Amino acid sequence: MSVSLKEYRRLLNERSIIMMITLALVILWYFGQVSLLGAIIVFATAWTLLIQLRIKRRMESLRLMRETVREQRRTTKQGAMTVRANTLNRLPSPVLLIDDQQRIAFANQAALDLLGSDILNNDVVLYLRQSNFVNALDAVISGKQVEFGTIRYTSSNERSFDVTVAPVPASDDGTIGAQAMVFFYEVTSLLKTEQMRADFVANASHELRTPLTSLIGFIETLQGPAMDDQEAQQRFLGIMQKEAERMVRLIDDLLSLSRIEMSRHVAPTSTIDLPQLIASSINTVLPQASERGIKFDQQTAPDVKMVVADADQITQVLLNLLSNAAKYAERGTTVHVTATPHYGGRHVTITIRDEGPGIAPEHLARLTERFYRVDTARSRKMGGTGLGLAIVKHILLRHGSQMEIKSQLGKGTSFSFRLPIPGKVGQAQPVTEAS
Amino acid sequence: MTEHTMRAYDDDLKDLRTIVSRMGGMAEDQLVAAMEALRETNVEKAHKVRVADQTLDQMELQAERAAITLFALRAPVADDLRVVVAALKMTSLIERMGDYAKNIAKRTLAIAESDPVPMPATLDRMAAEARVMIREVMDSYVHNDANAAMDVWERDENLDNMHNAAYRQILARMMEAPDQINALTHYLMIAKNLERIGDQATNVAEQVYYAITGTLLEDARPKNDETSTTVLDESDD
Repeated sequence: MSVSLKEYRRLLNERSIIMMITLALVILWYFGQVSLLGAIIVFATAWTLLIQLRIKRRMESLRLMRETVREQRRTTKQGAMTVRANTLNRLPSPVLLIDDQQRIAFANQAALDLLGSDILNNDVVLYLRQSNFVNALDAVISGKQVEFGTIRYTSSNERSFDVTVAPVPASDDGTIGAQAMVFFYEVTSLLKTEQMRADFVANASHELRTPLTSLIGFIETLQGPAMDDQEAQQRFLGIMQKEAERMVRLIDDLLSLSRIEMSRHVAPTSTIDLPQLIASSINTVLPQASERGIKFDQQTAPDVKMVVADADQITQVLLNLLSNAAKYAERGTTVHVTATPHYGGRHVTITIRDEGPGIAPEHLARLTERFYRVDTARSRKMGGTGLGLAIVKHILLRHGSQMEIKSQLGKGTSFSFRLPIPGKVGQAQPVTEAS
Repeated sequence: MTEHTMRAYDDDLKDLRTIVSRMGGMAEDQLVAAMEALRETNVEKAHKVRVADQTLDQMELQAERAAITLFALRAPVADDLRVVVAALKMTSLIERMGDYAKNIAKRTLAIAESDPVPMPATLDRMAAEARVMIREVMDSYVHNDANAAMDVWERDENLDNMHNAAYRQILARMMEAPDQINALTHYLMIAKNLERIGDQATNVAEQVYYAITGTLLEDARPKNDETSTTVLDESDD
């Protein structure tokens, strides 16, 4: 429509029509032609014009409404698309979209973090090289249905993933350009748990078997060659008793470890008198320590008194640490037990420090592992179960504390942990095991 | 890397890179499969490894052809030339890794014939270490990361130390149990193979470093292999 016509159309409104009627009537009257017929014709024309005008207006408003609705719908849809794209991008599991040329068409943030930020539009085989993955991808892109076993991808920082390759049809009926989606499901913790379980079963059965083997050996000897040898019998029975006791201790330790693990999400609420508890624990291990000429030196800061802890469990922690010191510290040395307020005064730090021989750094990280021993033979001789420090660690985790072990060969080892002072801290939160 | 006027040139270079990467993945798979067969003394799996080695050989030929085509048609210069030459060398190194894996599988067959002798645990750790080296060197290649290649190159010492330990351990076991000497000798050679795979990974790392930076890493190579001079005396166990 040309511009002039538009201008003209804009002139067509109620006011101009009424003016035209008046003008027509005036002209008619001027010529003395005002008749009923003339008036009717003029009014009828005006009426038709008015109706046409209204129809036009109505049509216009309808069109406007329709357009608004359409606009609204479009924005909502776009918003939803953005949300979907962002969702995919924020998905914690890595996802890749591979086009039919095996190039990476899309990678979400997790995938970029895992495989490197420069992977887009490059061949996916560069990064995922396993031959079973390559075969699976070939099959999926060429539209074949094949069963492929588990594809395991291990990243350079030892994270493991189970990789799934699935076809993504580019059209609804799946006829053109199959693409492939690669989804990574992280199994690192699963594998680790499985490894830990296997290790634990192997260790526990080995530990239980060792005393049993020697018991059976001695029983056979007593039944056979030593049947009439009174002296040997006494000696063997003594050894057998020791072995049996060791087994009892081991089972007790295993049970108490599992009990502690059951209650590890419940923080202790009772308060205990720490200096007294330390003193009584020292008294308990004193006879064992003095055999090796080891003395204890307890130093408690004057303002250390009550702490929030479970009395039985903290006693067990202290007994384990002190008897370790009594067993392994060098003869004739002193073991220092200190309890001092931590900076900020909300916790008490308890430290048990010996004067040698110290533990080599490569053992330190693994000391709290079940059945881990620096020197297996020595630990056996001392009657250790290999569970002591594991128990200590778990009790302390329940108390919201962690054991810190520092050691220097030739200088000595120190074990320290913190306990909360009542009223100063909110409820102690049990720490979940980090490893 | 800057793009070439001819897109086909870029595509050819990319294809070559893809083949090399595939070979690396395949070599890693072969090593894992060979160790699995050895751990379980599984004759069937060992056979599979030996057969699969042919695929790796085929891939090497394919890579060679791709590289020669590149030379002939595109006459690469400067960094492109380095990339192609390095790829050519890398493929033959990776193919050697595959051969060592195949050799492990072959020895598994021999070990399976005699009475079962437990595998020294050190071998497993060596294989894991060698595998990580292959993976990381290939990662450094596809990401063009010279520092990562350097890391792998320095890492070889670890594997050498493990090899020394395994060597002494196996020799000691030979002295204890002369009747197992047959299987133990194979284990000794397998340890050597694993160590060689690590060496090849270091060589690949050198090529990657060269392709990216244009400098040779040849000298000052970490070396800690003492086995060629190790003697075990009777009192030592």
